[in-house]
Amino acid sequence: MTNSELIVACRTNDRKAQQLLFDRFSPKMMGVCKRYLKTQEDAEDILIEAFCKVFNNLPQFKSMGSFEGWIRRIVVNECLMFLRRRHNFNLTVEIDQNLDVKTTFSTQDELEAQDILALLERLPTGYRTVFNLYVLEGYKHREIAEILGISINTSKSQLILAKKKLQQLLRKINYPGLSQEEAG
Amino acid sequence: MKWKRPQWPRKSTVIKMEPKKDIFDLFKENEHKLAEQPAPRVWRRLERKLDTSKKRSSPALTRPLPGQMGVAAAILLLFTVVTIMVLVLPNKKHAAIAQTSNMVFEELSASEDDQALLKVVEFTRKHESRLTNPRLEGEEQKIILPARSAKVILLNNNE
Repeated sequence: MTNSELIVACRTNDRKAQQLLFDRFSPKMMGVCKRYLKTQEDAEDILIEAFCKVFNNLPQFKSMGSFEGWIRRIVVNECLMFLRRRHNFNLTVEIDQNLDVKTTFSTQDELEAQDILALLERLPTGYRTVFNLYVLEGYKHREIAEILGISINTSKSQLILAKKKLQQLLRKINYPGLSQEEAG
Repeated sequence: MKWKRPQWPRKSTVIKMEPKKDIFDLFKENEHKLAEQPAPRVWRRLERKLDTSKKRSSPALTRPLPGQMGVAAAILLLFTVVTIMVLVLPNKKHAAIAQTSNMVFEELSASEDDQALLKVVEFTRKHESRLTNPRLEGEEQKIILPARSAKVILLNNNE
């Protein structure tokens, strides 16, 4: 069944079609939730909320763009709403932008899923959210500032700090992909 | 012995350069690995949530109408209102006119006593208005009296 056929069936509240749609897109979306949220329970709760919105708002989906992209936006928005309720994104010290350090990895040493999650989990909420939005969702600092209600400089600072923190963490665990001088 | 031009780069001196990647690219490329099938309980919970939201959804009468039906309903409502105004309201007006034709008009004339009383009422009304809006600077020729005493004087004069 194609996505278009699935959408048509889901609009009629066909439960089997809804389950098929959930099975098709939920693994990726679960990954998105886990990147933003620290616990499995929170990720599951937000995934449920997001898919409920997906099914309720399906009649409003214009088949112009990517369906997966549309679902992803809903999921990301749900994650951000959850984080906004619990975290003040403005409570981060702005730092000098010169702290930006180039970190390179050897392509031979790829990160595994648990490495990525372990690294992201160790980042403070503000850093992790900006990192996710900038690096993995492709938002600009201006857009992130608008979404999180922070200044553009705060967004930039948090990204730099996130990068620095990731570098420190990788050094600490002696990640083999780090070049010799950076690991030292 | 003739010198043989070496091939460049020499095989023995080739250093295998590993392409270096930015930390951001590394995360981007490996992000897909985070995908995981949620536990079956997640779908069950979602299903329950969908059921409750369906039950809670508004009944047919209060549910918003789709675009075309909404426009049709508005036109029908407007037509009904105009029809009521054209047909019912003129009839009411005619009925009111018909009622007035059956009316008997009676002329009322005031007696002399009534005329005197009216004068008193008019006088006191004027004085009361002066009391409520007093003049800051009174005219020298006029005596300002309270309303009650004015009534008595006027009644005495009439007698």
